[in-house]
Amino acid sequence: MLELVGAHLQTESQAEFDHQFAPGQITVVLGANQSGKTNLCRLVAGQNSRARGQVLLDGIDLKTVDPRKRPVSMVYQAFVNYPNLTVAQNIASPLLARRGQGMMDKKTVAARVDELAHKLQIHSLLSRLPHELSGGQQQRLAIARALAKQAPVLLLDEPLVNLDFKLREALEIELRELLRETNTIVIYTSSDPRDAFTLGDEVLLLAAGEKLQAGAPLDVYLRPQSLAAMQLMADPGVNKFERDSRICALRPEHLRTVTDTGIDMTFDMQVSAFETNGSESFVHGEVEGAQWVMRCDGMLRISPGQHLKIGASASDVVQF
Amino acid sequence: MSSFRPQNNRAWLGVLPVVLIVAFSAVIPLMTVVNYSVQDILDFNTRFFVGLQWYEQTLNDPRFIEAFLRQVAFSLTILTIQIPLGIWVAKGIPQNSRMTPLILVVLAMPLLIPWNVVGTIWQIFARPDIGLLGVTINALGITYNYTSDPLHAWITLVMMDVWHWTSLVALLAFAGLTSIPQPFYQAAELDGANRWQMFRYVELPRLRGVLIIAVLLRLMDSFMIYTEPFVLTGGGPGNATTLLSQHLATMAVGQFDLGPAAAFSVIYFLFILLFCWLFYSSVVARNED
Repeated sequence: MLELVGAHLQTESQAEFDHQFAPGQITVVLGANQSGKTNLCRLVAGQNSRARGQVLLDGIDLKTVDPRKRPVSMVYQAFVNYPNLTVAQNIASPLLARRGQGMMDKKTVAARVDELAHKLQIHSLLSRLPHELSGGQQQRLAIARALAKQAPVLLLDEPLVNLDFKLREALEIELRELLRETNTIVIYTSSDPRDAFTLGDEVLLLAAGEKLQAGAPLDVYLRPQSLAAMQLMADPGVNKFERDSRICALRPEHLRTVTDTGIDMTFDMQVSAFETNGSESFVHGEVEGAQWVMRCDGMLRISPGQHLKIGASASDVVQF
Repeated sequence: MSSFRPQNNRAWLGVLPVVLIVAFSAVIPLMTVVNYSVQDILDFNTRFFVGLQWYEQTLNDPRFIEAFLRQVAFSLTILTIQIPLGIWVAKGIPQNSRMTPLILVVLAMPLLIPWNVVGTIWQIFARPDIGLLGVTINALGITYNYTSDPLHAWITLVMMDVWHWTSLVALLAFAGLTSIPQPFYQAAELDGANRWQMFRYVELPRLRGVLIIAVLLRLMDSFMIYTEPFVLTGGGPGNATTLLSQHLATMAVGQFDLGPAAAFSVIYFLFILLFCWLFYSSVVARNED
């Protein structure tokens, strides 16, 4: 069990929070840029940042542990590997750096390298140097290096943002399988709510160093405690409106054209933009003075400038 | 098609100044030297073609060989001191401190001092009768006189060059160090890397580029060094600190042996070229393995 007590992630904010990360669980830390995600990772890793707070692993304060010996490994946004070591040496590096402390003999190291290289599908590249690998392979290597350490805490700080879309999705699915097998405490930061659903057993929402909400991804999605929390879990964003001087919000996927069934409230939309990829479409426009976006299945015959009657089911409205 | 041609030719006018400057500053003087090196010049109207005679003579001249060996010893010595020392100094410079610009300016100062002034500074600094360094060392009970003892002269010469040029290596290495992103250090730290491993596997590979430049610059510059030893020791005591350029100057200006001096210059030039090429191609070749 990893515990954060009085975590203060940003100098600009006063916010402090506590959180507990359970072993064998993947916690997706979701937040916009500058929300304190990286600072959270650094706090846990014990590396210099402006974050403050107590980090307890099974009751032991990690502050008392030298970063060199911290039971934590980390994958970074940039592809971090040793440029003049081969793939095999790179994977072995956290094991070899510790060998002086009487950890592992050569055979065990070789076996471990082989196992990880197979898991991450880089076993055919073992004698290459990192700069000879593609971006996706370099990040696979970085993940293998992090796993090699077999630390009870694994931090992944937006590991896939520098990869292209398809590679990202593929690696994400692999990662889920890979991480679920272990009894590791996994903290995965992201700014994409989809990561919370594909990877997360739990999601922790951060905004400006503040903990907005935490829980199972679907729970947080269904029962957001604040507009900001709902906004973070929505893609591309939420649609706000006011009813009886209360702030209400609707998700893009809950809006429909009025010809559909199950509608008990309607809105007028002045369409400003329309995008589609064939399987789904996004209609952007103005509703009651606010910018809205509606997501629909398939293609729609809509052009910018047109007036559109849209509707939603009252049960999908979230009130704050 | 034809309407484009005048425009294309006009572009040559743009290149012309560079061609002229390079011709007057490099090609013509170099060719003049090559021309002198195959002639025996008695006066401007009396000259004989002698072929490779001056080259043979130079290469068999024991004074040339001695100066050459001294030169190699000097260059290797200052390289083995300046490169590690420069890296060490660079690692000591704080990267994001308010002091950083000040430190860099102070560090760059030796590089801004005219070379003959550097020579003069050390000539006085090291004097055993009035120089701070010379007097201090003698006061410690160590006999030190760089004008009479060849070893002392060498040590002083090397110290002067280290003082003068280590800053260059340090500044280059510092630039290389600042370009290493923090996550590389952090990852190595979490891997449990100690300071030496951090240097060996994180910093050194990324300093390669700037260090190659540093070694090349220092190799070429030290091979051509003239002013500072000329002012400091004048090549003495005896010929103990006579390096290649000084030997050349003696031949060309002192004895006015233009033919042999020209042959010497060409050999000298080819040696520098050869060393740099050997060094560069060996590191680049290793890179491609």
